[in-house]
Amino acid sequence: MQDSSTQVMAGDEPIIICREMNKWFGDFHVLRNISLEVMPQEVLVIIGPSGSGKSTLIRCINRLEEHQDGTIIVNGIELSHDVQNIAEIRRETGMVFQQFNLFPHLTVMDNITLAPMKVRHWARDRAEQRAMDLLERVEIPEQAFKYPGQLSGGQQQRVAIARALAMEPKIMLFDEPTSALDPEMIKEVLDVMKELARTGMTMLVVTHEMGFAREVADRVIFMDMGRIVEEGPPENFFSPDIVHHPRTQEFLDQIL
Amino acid sequence: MSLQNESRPSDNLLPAVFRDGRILQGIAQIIFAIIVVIVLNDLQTRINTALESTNQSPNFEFLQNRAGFDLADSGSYSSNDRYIDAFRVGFINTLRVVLLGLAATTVIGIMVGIFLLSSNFLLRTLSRAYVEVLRNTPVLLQIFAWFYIAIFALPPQQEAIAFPQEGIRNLPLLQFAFSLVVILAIWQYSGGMRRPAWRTGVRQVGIAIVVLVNLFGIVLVGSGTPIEFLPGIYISIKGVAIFELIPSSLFGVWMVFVVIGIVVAILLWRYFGFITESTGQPIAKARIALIVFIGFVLLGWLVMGMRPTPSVIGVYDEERDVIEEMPYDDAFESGMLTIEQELEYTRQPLIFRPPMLDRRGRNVETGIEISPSYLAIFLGLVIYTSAFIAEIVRAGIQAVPKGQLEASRALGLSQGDMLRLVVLPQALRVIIPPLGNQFLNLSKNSSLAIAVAYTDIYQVTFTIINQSGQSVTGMVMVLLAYLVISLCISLVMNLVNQRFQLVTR
Repeated sequence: MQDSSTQVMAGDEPIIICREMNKWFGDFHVLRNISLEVMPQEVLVIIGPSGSGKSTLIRCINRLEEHQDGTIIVNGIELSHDVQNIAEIRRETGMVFQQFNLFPHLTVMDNITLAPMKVRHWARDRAEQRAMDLLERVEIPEQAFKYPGQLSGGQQQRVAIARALAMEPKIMLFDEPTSALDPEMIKEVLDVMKELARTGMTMLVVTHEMGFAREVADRVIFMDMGRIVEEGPPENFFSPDIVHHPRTQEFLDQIL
Repeated sequence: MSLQNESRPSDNLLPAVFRDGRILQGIAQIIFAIIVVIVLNDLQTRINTALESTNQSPNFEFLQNRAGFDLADSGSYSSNDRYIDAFRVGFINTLRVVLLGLAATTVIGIMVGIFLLSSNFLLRTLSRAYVEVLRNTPVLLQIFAWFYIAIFALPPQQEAIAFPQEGIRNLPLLQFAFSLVVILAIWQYSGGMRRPAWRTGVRQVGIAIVVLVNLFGIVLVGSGTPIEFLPGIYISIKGVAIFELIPSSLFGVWMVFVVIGIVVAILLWRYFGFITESTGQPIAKARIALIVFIGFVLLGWLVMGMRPTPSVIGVYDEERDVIEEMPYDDAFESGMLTIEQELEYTRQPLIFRPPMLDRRGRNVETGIEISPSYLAIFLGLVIYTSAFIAEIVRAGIQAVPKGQLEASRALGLSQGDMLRLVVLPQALRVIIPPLGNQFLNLSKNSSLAIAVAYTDIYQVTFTIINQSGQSVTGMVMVLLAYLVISLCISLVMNLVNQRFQLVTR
């Protein structure tokens, strides 16, 4: 039996809290005084030029990177060197990578059922049932017994999303999920993400897809040089009438 | 038009047939085949001429002749046996080096390879030094170093290092047994990442009990059970002598317990595996199976101890040349029982026999003897090859992309599951082909045994050729022997490799 400690109810309190968070890679100050709160069911899109620290920020939230200063609280649990806390946060947090990172030696089915069986201790039947449901949701049930190497990029990324969802996480982190895809495959992945957002998943998405941000995001954050420069709802963010921070304006001018 | 004319093939000097790529390839093949035939034919003629001049035609009949030479490390072989028997001795000796060597070098290589990636600075640096020193010096030099430096520095056989030292020592056996039970209980009931507080409590109380019992037992109670130690291993300049375990008359019945233990352990292992699959409940199935197996082995040993024994045994007294009736226990303690009587009347399924020297103190009479030559070639090959295997293992593990580790962590897999289910299967894919090459290297390098006079197949065949003059037959046989060994290794490694191939488009 799994006993998650304090459960935070939707809409009550922030599910992710970062306070005065700092991180360095050697001498390089990647994240500077990041303070951020994410509410349950919120879709937060993080944009910014490369090297601005946006990937590092979401990788800190499930401890793929270690922050050196400040506080991160996820789902009521503080991230520290406590390995049990880290394990618990990772159970509640799914992640989708730019390079998919599927396990090439396992079938699609085994990729998806591995963590639920090993971490959540589900029976195989239950894990496989759940995997088939998810594969249908991402619209590739017929690929269940193929290996990742036999799938297209878009299909692989959809399997990766299904794999993360199989753990029934409360939060999904997306680290540039469409950046390694051909243009016609981007849409199929974005469609899955939009559908996920509609079901009320808490999502943090690092992306360059401004269309997705405009359509799905509840809030957009612009980062530069390790700082949160500006944040706001997408309709403000992408409106030509709003006066932006000069750095934001420069970035928006380049991509829009 | 003129442009077209310039590039027309018909302007060439050669007819069209000789510009056809397929025909050109065919001609090249024919020329090559002719060269091969000429060379082989020449070789055949030379061999025949050479053999005629020595009045020897290659045949296999001579193998039935008396060999007439002695061999070290040869078991029951003697100089009156045939050439073919000498050849068999050599082949078995080569296999002894190769098979045990492959097992040992793999274990050491994998260990050192993992140490190379350790986060412990000392371990990492030491294993790096091990690899660099060993793989950058010639293997022949290393074999000589083992033979002339490491083994020659050992004491003579009469002053051999004995392990354990002979004598009677007091051991707190009860405390040991009790501690073992407590430690097993802690191991069984307090594991897991998210153990509840009471389990942590159980663990701490258990550790406290073990520490107290042992302190009490050794410091306050003092004496334990007196145990007689017999030397199990002698190490000297003449090599290593190891004890023997001889199956007694009870061995067969005891083996029944062992086999039942194995069967029950496997059934339990599979049953708990099935339970985990169908309910998801994690069970330490390997641990349970192991404990059950050990339980059966010990139970068998205890039951054998309860066999009915005669109350008196007739013991032959050498000094008085009479057979004397002695009570059972006294007979065993007198040391005058013959080995046959011991095997017949003992309460143990296996009898321990320490290595013993003959009366002149030269040769090992009972026990297993390992010659210095074998030690030198074995250690030389194993240690040398393990350095290469360590590098292969390190490279294989590092070849697994970092993203695989990140994905495993993000899914919440434990460190152990990540290594076992994600890293290892992918690392093996990279490790196995070059590992097979190292296995082949070790098996072929075993022919260096001649340097330390170990009677491997090459050395024996060399002697046979010198004595019989049958060089062609001898060389063919030794080539075939190495070929058989190498092909077997290749076959196994290819089968293993197939299992780990990735399926792609």
